[in-house]
Amino acid sequence: MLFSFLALIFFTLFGLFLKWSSYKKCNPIAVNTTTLFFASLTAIFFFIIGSYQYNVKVGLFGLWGGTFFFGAILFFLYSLNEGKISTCWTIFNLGIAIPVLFSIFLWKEALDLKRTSGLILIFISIVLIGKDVK
Amino acid sequence: MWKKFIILAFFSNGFCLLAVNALIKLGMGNFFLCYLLVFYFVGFLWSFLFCFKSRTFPAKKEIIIGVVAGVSSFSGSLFMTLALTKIPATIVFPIAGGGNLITVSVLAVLIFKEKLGIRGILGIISGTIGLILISI
Repeated sequence: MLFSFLALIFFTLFGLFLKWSSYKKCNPIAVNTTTLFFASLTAIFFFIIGSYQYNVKVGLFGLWGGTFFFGAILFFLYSLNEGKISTCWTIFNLGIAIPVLFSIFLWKEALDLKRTSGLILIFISIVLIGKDVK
Repeated sequence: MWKKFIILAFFSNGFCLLAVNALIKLGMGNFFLCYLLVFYFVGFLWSFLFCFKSRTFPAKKEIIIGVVAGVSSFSGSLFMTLALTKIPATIVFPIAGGGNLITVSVLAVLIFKEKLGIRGILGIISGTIGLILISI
């Protein structure tokens, strides 16, 4: 349970500090670079003291994920220049719908009532936030 | 303009999460630290290239934000993985995944004095419930 709450605290800090960067009129490219640099340093530290296990296939997935993550954070930082963190952060995190949709269409996973309702709510959420002009 | 950027961020983050999903589906979840190492390092290399091309050099405030955001991003992913090995996903995702949407929104109102319309509030609530429903 403690780990779940620690994850919650760190993800919240991550979102708020990205907003803080736009609040302080920081350059999104510079913030993205320093964020990914220090995340890499932390990852290297934990990789060395941790399992030290590596796999070429996993590396390729890392290459794929890292490329999209770089774009995701950069676009997110640009959106924060005008958008609100509360709404931008929600839409950003709703990206989880993409792997779910791929699971359904690519891996032929069953679409139960829970997932269907979740996907519909995500769609409604994006439309509602998009129309919130205040 | 921000709407275009956030939609691009939504799809980029989605395709990024697709890599994690594929990794777990192929039974390589135990290489998570190796994945995170390559993941962040590749992201950094792309970003460094952009920095270099646009001749952007991080100032002190950008470095400080980078330290906190970078360490937080890695730690969040690490603790979420550790939590998933100890307790069921039905508990982890609502707390870490759905919970952070609520905490960020509440803190945004308190710290940055953001004002949300009724549609925005309903959108965040519906998004949080939707995220929890498809995660558990």
